[in-house]
Amino acid sequence: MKKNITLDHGSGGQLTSQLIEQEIVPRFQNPSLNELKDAAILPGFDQELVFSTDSFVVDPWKFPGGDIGKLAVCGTVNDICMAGGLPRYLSCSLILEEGFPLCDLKTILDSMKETAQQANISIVTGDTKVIEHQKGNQIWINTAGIGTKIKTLDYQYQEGDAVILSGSMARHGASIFMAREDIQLDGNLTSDCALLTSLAQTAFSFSGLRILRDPTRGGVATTCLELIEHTSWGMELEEKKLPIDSDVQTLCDLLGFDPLYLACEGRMLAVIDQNQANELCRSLGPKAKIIGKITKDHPKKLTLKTKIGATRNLRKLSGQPLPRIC
Amino acid sequence: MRFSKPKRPITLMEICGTHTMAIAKSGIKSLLPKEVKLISGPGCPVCVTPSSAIDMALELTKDPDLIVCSYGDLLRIPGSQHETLRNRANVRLCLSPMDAIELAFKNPEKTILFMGVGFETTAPGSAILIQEARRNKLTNFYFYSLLKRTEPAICALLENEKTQIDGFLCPGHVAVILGEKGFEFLPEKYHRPGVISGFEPEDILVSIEALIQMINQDQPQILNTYDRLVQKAGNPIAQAQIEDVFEVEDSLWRGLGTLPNSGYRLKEKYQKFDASLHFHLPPLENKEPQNCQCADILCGKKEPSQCPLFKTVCTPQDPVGPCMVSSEGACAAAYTFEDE
Repeated sequence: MKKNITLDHGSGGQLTSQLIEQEIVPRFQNPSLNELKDAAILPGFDQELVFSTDSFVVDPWKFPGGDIGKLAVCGTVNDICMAGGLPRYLSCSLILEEGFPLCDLKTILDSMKETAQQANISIVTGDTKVIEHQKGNQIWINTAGIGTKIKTLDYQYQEGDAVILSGSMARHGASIFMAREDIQLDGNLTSDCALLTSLAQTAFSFSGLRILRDPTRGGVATTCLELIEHTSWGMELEEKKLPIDSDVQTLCDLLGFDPLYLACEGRMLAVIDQNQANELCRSLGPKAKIIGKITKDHPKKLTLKTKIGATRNLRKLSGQPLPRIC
Repeated sequence: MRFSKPKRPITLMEICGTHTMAIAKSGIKSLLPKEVKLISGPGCPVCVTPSSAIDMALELTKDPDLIVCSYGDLLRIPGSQHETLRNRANVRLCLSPMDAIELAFKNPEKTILFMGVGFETTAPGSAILIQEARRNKLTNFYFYSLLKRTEPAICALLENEKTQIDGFLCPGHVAVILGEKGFEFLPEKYHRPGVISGFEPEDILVSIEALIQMINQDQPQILNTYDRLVQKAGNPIAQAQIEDVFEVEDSLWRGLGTLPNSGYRLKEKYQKFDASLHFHLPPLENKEPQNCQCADILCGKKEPSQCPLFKTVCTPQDPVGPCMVSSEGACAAAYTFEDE
């Protein structure tokens, strides 16, 4: 392990997993944490609770298709949904940099309010801290959320289970990169940042649903690996079936990024009994696609069948994507 | 598609880093006839840049009034002490060389240093940057040339008796600038075939088949399967821009040593923008990390898996040598896409 924390420890890829598995889980050991889901399932109440937290440090705070406020509500709400929960209450902690314009803060709080209303949740507690000028980056937000558990999701896969992606991949990662690096390209590349509450509820109604995850940091490839790494199953994806919008594909081609590793913030991965897959796909909307399947053939390995019929392994994101020279 | 059966074992080299990535990403190696071996060449610009260039830039960034800018890959490459430019506060990422002009305008009190890296593909962009700097009478902008030419590197490989290369997948983007004629030295001087290829998996498959056929028939020529972009004579406007701004000079390559006429330096009329003159920069030297096999990997003499550091201490998170640093390096491609 490296001696100091690097940016790669927060990329959601291999180093993030290492940090969590080597330093965090062994220290705090308990059944809820050990599951390593997006949200913890809390027993001991009349109804099981689902509890999650997430911190938001996105730079710039405003990007095409959303802002840090919308993201902070969507992120935690979605994590609760992906763990089989119905989100109910959220906390909101603000860490503000001295000098941050009040009008910008109002904009961010308004979009939190609007997104919370759409998600049918209440923001019930919070905290505010201000740090000295130039010791922070304008605004950081932490949200934690509680919901009630309405669907049990575990890793009970069967041979041939289908893997579904609810919409096109990599839009959030691509649009944040455009905004951050101030890339002067015309077009309408907006983030996919959205609530997954209704899509998740649709999926919950299927008896053959095994698991849900939102492919955020590390992208679809890293998330798919996380879905199998603690099981005895493997997964095969098909390049031809991966939904990607042409604007995102073009940006990736131009900069040398692999869209399989760019974040989504409003997409859902579902693993489901193959016999119910087409119906779930239809219910999730026209952009949802079956992108692969669960297999016994290569336990814990994720493979990609490429367009020309070859097969290669997919690993977790390693390092940060940086644009190439030519 | 089905490949022709090679009459003997053949070794093909893809020169360009973007080809290396495309081959690994699409899994082409697993589809080739067993007689065909595909090796990666010295066409990743960051990989062939000596680490002392990074050391020098790191040293220069100690001046708080200087802003160093370059392309993403270069900022990630460690110098000889494992430090990278990316972590320094006064270093900026550029997507286009023109970003450097904007930086110079926006920061008149600062000095801007652009690290120009790449082959003939990026040289015209760098040339325009320098022409623009002169047109705008910039006094706070300097260009450090790490630019390289493709031909001398290929010649050096072919003249080395230890390397056996039967044919070349020629770099499509370099050929956009140089044209088909830029690679005619291969059959004429070395009796080797070359196919100028695009970067889609289909382009590469067709090009490899063309190479197998030419080798089977012992009729080496330059073929162009990327004719939707590459013309016979290349792009004369871009060539004229290179000619206006740069002249060739001997240049140091990682893995290949100093090759005659293999780099570009600024012509006299643009010398006031030349960073090596302004900052009195010493000539570069090769300081390879211990046990790093990048030098041999760049020449196709070794494969990444033959390096003792590969996957053990050298990984994309913690790269030792340049072939692992650059996303287009042979080691990064092998690590990311190939089987354990």
